[in-house]
Amino acid sequence: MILDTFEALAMVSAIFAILILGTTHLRTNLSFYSLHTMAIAAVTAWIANITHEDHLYLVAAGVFIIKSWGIPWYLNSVIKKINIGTDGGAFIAAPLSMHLGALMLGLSFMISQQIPGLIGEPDSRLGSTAAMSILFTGVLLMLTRRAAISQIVGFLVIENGIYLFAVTQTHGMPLMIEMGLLLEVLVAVMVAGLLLFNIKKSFEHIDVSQLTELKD
Amino acid sequence: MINDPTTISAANLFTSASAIWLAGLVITAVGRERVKSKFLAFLMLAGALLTLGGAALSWNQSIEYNQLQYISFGLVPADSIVDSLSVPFLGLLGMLASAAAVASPCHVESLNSQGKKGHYWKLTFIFLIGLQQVLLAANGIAFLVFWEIMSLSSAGLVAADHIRHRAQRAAFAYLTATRISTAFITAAFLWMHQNTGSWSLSSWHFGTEQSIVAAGLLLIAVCTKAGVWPMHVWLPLAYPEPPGPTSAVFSGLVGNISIYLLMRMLLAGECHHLGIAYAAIALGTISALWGVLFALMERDLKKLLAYSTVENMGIILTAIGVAILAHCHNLDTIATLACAAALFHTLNHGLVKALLFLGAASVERAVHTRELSALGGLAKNMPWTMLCFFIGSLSICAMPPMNCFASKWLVYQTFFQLSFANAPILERAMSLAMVGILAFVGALSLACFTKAVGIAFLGRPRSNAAAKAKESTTSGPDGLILAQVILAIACVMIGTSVPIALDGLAPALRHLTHDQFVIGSTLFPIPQGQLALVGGILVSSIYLFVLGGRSGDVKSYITWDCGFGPLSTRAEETGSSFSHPIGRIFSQILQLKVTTEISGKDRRHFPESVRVETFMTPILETKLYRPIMGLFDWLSASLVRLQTGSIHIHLLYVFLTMLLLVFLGTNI
Amino acid sequence: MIAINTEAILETLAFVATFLLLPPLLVGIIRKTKARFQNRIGAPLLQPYFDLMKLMSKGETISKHTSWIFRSTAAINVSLLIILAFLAPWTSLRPFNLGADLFLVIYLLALTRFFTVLSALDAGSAFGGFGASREVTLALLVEPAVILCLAAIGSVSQTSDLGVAFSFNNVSLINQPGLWFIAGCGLFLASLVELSRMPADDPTTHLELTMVHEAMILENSAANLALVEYSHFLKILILLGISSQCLLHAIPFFWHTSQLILALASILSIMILAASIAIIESVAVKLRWTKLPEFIAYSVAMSIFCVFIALSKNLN
Repeated sequence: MILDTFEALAMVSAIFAILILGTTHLRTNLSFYSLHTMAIAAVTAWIANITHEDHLYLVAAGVFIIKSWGIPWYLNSVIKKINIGTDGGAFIAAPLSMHLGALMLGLSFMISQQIPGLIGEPDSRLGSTAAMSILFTGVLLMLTRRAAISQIVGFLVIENGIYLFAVTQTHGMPLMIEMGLLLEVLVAVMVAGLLLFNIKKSFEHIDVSQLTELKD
Repeated sequence: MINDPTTISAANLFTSASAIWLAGLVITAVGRERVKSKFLAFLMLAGALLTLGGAALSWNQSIEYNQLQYISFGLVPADSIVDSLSVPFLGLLGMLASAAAVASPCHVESLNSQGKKGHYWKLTFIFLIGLQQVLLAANGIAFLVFWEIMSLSSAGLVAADHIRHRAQRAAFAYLTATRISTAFITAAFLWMHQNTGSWSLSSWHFGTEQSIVAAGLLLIAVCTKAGVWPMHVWLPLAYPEPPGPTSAVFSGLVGNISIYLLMRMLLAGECHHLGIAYAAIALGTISALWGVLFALMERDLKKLLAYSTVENMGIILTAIGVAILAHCHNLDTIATLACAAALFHTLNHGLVKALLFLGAASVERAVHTRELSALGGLAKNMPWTMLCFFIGSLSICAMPPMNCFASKWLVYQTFFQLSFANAPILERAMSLAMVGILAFVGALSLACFTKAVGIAFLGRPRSNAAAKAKESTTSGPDGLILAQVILAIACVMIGTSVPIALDGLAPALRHLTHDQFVIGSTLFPIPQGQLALVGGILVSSIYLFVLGGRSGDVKSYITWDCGFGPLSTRAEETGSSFSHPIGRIFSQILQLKVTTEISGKDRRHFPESVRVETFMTPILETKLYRPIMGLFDWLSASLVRLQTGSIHIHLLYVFLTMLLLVFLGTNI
Repeated sequence: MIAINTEAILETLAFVATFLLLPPLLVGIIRKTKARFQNRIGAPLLQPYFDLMKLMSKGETISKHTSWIFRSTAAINVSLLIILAFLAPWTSLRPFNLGADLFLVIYLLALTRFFTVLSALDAGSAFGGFGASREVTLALLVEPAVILCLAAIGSVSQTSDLGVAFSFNNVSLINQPGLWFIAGCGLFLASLVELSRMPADDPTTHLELTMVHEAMILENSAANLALVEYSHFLKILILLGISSQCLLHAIPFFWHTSQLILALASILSIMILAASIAIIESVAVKLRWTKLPEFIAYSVAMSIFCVFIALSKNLN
């Protein structure tokens, strides 16, 4: 199987997403996230190149600027302000969850071979494999980590997975929808960041596993 | 079916070996203390050598004969068969029994009570006869009878030191395990007899639909007897207990005999059940990981070796699993490789484990303890034991010029070749994962055996007994040392001439793979002998040209002590501290807990005393076996109510049972 | 085997020359680069040779508690690594086609570790014990990664002979830049740990409580120490060489090019990897012992990716 550039880029983004799982050091997480999103921007640009849909270049630029620079930069500043460098404790040890994520990549490969009606040759559906694996990775990140920052990163990774899936299957939606989605994510992250300040201020920690105390 | 002179003489050799051992048994029973232990050892050695000779004569053709024609076990006479599969195991038996015979006199002379001496000889002779006849048995009934003789006599050997609580417990655990395994084997045999109508072992085929039950029962039985996870809990208790020399035969053959049974039934019997293959691979993998991890954490030298047996049984079981898997997919080359791996590793492991147990026995004799924390620095006082134990450790860690490297390589190669064979993708993924797991197990066993050698033999002595240890009772090397040297030489010889050894195993492989065309020497392409030679030349030339000629410059001084004066031996690394970092990584499985107590006025800066304790709770025993044992306790406590003491009620029970049996028998 | 022609002779000569000269030079490059990063001029590139010479002429001190293991370990390790250098595919030059079996290579490396660990325990000092215990722990975590990366490559080329798998004429492995690149990264990360370099161990520190490799060889001196150092240099050469070969295979330019360029590129890439070790050591810190499994996990993750690529490549 010869990888074409598009599939290779999608796999690179999936691999970077899995590498996020490997450490509880939040800034390293964010830099891996940034690399991961850059690969996704590159995928978008490459699809634009193939399909000659020029508006996808704009989307790629938007993803690059907002998601792979803006959001990590903003979250980095949040981390600096609330002064929490590492995730307190993962439910599953970080190395183990990374290896789980890697296994999920294999699993999504098997799944994407089975799903009928996907775009792509039946023996090379690496685009949808990558998208699905990114989705799983995001879920795994949200499941295993305690700190609220990691939850945000997990959410962003899931969002990237959905986006990649859409892009590989439809070869790009209209510009307005893409831009709307991007802005929505940006707003969500801003709100989450603001919430974080307040959580930190009132509870002295950002451990979401202790939010259960809030019920009733 | 005796047809030509060599087979006649081979059959006669086996029969006379048994006869000699039987004679030894009778002489011990009759003669009591008048018999010299040297004479009995000579009988044992003669039997062992006859077995070896018989194996050598019959390695290429199978003989069926009826040595015990006058004995009949009710259903069938006790037929014997020597086929290509039993020959390697008979050879191993001969080898280990001769080593044990050489080591026996000096062990027996060190025993103080006459009863113990008699006990030792009687049980050893029965054990050897049982082992040999199990390997020769041609039908299920004979197999079961001799299997029982072997199991019970070995249980007696485990209980040799029965005054101690530890030995009692070990003997009970071992007895339970052998009971369970015999029960399952009997059930499997009955099932196969029901399906085929024959008691002959060679007529049973496991390719049919119904046979999966028997195959499953056999797998459970073998796992119990060989000590595969999760039925291995008896093994670290029982293996250290048999007295010195017999521990070689015990450790080298008790597990291997059950592997032999599995090979004879499932591999030679053409088992075609994927489920059995998966179960074998899964149990084997867990067992390999579990065994080596617990071996690493162990503080008792012999228990460490026992856990390492669990590991190796697991590896062999995975190879057998792959062989069945390959049979199912018709992958002939892989099946051949897997059979070769399983068979060769079984034999090598038996040899090496016997060597290591003899080494541990020698250490125990000199220092009177097996605790690693009380050993150390034995290399000075016990050079021969150290050398042999070192060779054994190299071999069991599968280091290149040794015999176990060849068999471990075959295991690796089996999985590696499965990864690009024509098999389902999940199985190929599993096989590559297994390569990684085997590497992990290999690294763990390296850690484990560097610990065993490094802590027991190197460094400075950690106790007075270790400092004053003496290798042998006489001035020169005595029997125990000689036995180790024999086995160590055998290991090195096999290691450096693997193609010859594999050629010797070719008939057995043909038997296991149903007459595939097998050339033993091509299975293992690495020229280990030449590599060892080149390595030897390189090392000696470096000695001559780089290090040589400067012995005058070498100063002998104390170990670097940072200038603080004499270094206390308590500053040395102990066995538990050596393995602690790894233990921390796997603390969940090992249930490893560390408590630290610091006392003093200013505890933080000027502690007066620091007390650190590490605990390990064996998770399987507490979480799995204790509830099961609790269940049995409860059951038996509630069954007590049935026993009223009234004779009428008991008669009623008899009557009811008879009624039940009548109903069952008439199929109403 | 070896055909007698000028090309083969030249190849042999080039191989022997690199194998003899490169190992200490690599350490020189690492030290020089680090010195430059710290705004120092640093010792000359050839300093490791001078160090070795000097060590050879010194008088030796041996602890009286040691046994023959300690005295023979250095010689055994050097011979094992020389054998390995002739077997393992650390450069594109392979004049002696001896058949480098994957598992043999791994187990020969393990054998050197076996001896090193035992000799560390031999003197009975506390530091040797620390070092030995840490060494086996690290090896345990790294071993699966190394073997899986190489086994994935071998599985794609359907042979366990690394000489065949790493040859540039092997058709089945060309067009697999992803596999080679990821395997190269995984192996490089693993070699950082195996070679006791920065995130795992600080080779320049002499604080006995934190070091791994240095703690193990604390008792060696003079010629013995020179041999230990030289075997470590050889190990650097072999491990970095294997990683660099993987990375070279990932670059399409080298798939169809002449032997000479390949040979030069292999040597150059080993040097570049050595320099990048120095850069990593200058910008990164030594990780805490408890954080090391996290670092090694990245190498294992790479090996898992390699396995996936190998499995999907052989899809039937």
